[in-house]
Amino acid sequence: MKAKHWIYLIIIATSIFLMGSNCDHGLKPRFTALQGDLIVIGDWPERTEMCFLVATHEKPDQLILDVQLVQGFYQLPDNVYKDGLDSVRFHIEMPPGEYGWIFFAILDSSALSTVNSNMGWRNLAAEYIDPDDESKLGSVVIGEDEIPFVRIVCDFRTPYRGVGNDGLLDYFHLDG
Amino acid sequence: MTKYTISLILIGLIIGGSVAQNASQTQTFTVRGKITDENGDPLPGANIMIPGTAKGASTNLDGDYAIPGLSPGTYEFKVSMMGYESTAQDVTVVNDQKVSFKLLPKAFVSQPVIVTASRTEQRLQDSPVSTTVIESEQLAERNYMTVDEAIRFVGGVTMSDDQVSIRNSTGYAKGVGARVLLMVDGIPLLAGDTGEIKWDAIPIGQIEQMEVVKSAGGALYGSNAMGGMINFITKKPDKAAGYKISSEFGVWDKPAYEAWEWSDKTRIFQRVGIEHTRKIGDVGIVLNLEEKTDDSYRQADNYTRGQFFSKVNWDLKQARRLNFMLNIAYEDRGTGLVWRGQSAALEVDSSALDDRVYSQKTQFNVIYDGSSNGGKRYWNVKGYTNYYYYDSFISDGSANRDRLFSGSLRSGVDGQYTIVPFDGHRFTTGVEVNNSIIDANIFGKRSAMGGAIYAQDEISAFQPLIATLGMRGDILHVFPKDDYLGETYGQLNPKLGLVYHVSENVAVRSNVGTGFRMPTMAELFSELRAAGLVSVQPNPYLKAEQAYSAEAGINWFKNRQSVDFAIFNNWYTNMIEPTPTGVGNQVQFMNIADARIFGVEAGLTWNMGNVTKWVFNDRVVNLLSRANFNTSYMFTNPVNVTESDLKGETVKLPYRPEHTFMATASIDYWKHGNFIIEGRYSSATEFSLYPGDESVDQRVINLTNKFYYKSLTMQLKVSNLLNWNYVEIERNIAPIRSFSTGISYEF
Repeated sequence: MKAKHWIYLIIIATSIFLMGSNCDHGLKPRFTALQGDLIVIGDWPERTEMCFLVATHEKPDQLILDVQLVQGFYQLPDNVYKDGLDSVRFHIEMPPGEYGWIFFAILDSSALSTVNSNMGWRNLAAEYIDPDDESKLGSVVIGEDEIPFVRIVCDFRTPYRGVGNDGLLDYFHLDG
Repeated sequence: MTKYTISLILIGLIIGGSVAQNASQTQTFTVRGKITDENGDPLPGANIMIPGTAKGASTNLDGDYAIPGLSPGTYEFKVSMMGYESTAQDVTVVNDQKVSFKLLPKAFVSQPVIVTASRTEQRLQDSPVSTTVIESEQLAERNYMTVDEAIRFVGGVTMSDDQVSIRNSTGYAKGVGARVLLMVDGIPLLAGDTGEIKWDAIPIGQIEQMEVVKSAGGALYGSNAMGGMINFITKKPDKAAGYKISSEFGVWDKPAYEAWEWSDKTRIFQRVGIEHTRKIGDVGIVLNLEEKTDDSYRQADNYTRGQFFSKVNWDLKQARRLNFMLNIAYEDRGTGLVWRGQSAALEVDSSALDDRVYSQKTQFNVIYDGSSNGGKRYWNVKGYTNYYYYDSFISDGSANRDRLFSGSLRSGVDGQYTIVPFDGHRFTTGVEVNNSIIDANIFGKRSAMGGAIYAQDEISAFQPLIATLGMRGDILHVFPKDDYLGETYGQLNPKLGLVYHVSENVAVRSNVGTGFRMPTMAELFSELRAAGLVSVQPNPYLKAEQAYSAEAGINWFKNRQSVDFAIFNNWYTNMIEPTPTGVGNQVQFMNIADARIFGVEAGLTWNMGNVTKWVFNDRVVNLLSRANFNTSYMFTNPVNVTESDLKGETVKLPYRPEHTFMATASIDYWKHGNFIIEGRYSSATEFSLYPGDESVDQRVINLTNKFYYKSLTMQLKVSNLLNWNYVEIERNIAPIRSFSTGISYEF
């Protein structure tokens, strides 16, 4: 192949590459999200260290949560529980889809570097309940054009056992 | 501003000294001459420099030059032109005289000599393992700010953020546990605590040659070389005294989407450096001082880096040399771990805005080597000490800021002896001992000691077949501490390599070998919370991981044109990967029982001299004096065999692209120009921590234009021309488009 042919080849290959890109820019902003209010009734537990609002597609059977199921989470600013606020608005960016388990979990001060860092029934302080049937978990669909709004009530005055807990499972407590 | 003021004062003193020196001399002469190519055709635009003086010239259309004002004495004339091999000659000036030079095109010089694959010098085509060589000129002409940026354009090599992978050997674990052994002048540079590569500590401007060996190197280099090796060979101090001042300045473009704009400020990055080389008697010295700052294209990612590099080369009698290298680097950088969301992909959570990491890296190496009997005996002793320290302040997602620090001291001595006992054999043997001491609040106070012995015979008695047999035994002991009872790891690694020269230009190669990697302190003992929800837990019962590597390839090489094809299959047992435990929000470094990476790689390098000649008024002008074209494609199938068997479907290893493609074209044009276009493509990868995250392929194109005039070089560069947005690891947008310019001056 003559030298000039190589130059043509380079130019053609580059042009194809550029055209193939089609003025696209790869990853794009995505605005799909879940919004809501967390309403707190009663006093925040003293041992509260970290708080998360977490969303997964469905509630798993196992006692503790596999982090790979988490599709989105929001960590509450620490002033929320330190100042004892009774409500907080949250916004969690998440991919489109149906989410059948949206819950509020609390980790205590022993959470870091121990098995207590696992999030499970014992950390479960509240869940999103179906507004039409309080015995069921609520479900939301996140699409490109809508940001669903949910309301989660956390009542610290009574132990929260969680939807589907038949009494055999551990339930929310922060005794370390 | 103090740092810049000091640099300016230094530069002023240097220039002032040079001017004063010239002013004190009176009687002067002129040296004239002609510079031609191998056919005797004149070379217009060639540069003639006299290092250590401000003297120099450039040839006219007839290839003639003249350097007036030379005092009597002996000068080193350095002649260079793009597309041609540089040459140097001592010229003694006693009166007006004529000195001519002939330059050979680069396309007609011999193939590169490598030193990494067999620990001794050998021609590239004699190596039984796939090796890619990048020379200093290629690095310089592409205007890379950092070494990891350059690595991304080497065929078969991919990066996931700061974690390098050769032929997809490595995924991503925030740098921890590299399966690629990184060396400077054959001395390992991995951190003693995490085993990671500190890219910012490698002085890119001081690299003479970069060798990438793409097969398990455990039989010669031990732990960490299971996925291959990268060896940076630094420049030898130059013969004559000289200075080089260089600076780069660039701006980050706006994000491709208005929604991602987060700052009204123009985000800039800059680098300034000064290098001094000198020879005093038999001692050559190079000193280099550099500083870089970057506002970054994203929040909480800005940095300031400084580096001092020095190398002393002492040529002793009887072909012996003593080398010292001291390299000190520091960095202060933001460290927002993940984006705030894909709606604001260049921003971090407000709690992470002030997260910082301060780090310093010190490397001190001594190499004493020599040869005798016309090179039939060669030996070296290498001693090294690396001290790395970092102190980070990372938000735990609330107002609390965790302090994570680690200091690691790694020292070692490596002695090697190579002998040609009789024709057809080259025997290499050596021993190595090393020691690591760590003080960290993430892993605790830990220490370990290791040793190794290795031997290799390169048999060329049955030409055209060259066979290489080697074996290395390693042992590492991690000392007990508190509840940890200690552990001793040991491994034997054999290798067999064959090269058959089918003809003068074609060689067929194959090799089989093993590699291994002992777990690092970070993998054994890390205990921290990462990215809010995730908790990293220690796993002190990790086993060492092993690799069984097999490769076959064919290579055609002529006048620096080459075509290479390789097929490889690497099996890993007990592969260590950060793995969600599946029973909580915990991640542990775990041994994946079985993994396999099969692949093929093809590469092409084509060089052309005098591409297009233009005859104008009977004068020959090279419009395009040289063109170089490099391309590489790799396909791999990285499979987690254990998980695949469990799930009954193919489970890919994360962070490893199936397809990667790289192409570079470098064209020297007119008299003083060089234009480079380089592109790379990687297919989208699987993620580990957030497997549901969107993944796109990588399409990156860089353009670089360079102008040379005498000792002055100017560069313009556009990086990520398409402003393509992609992530190498979850929730971290890779660099967006930037524009930069650079200037350097040698005198």
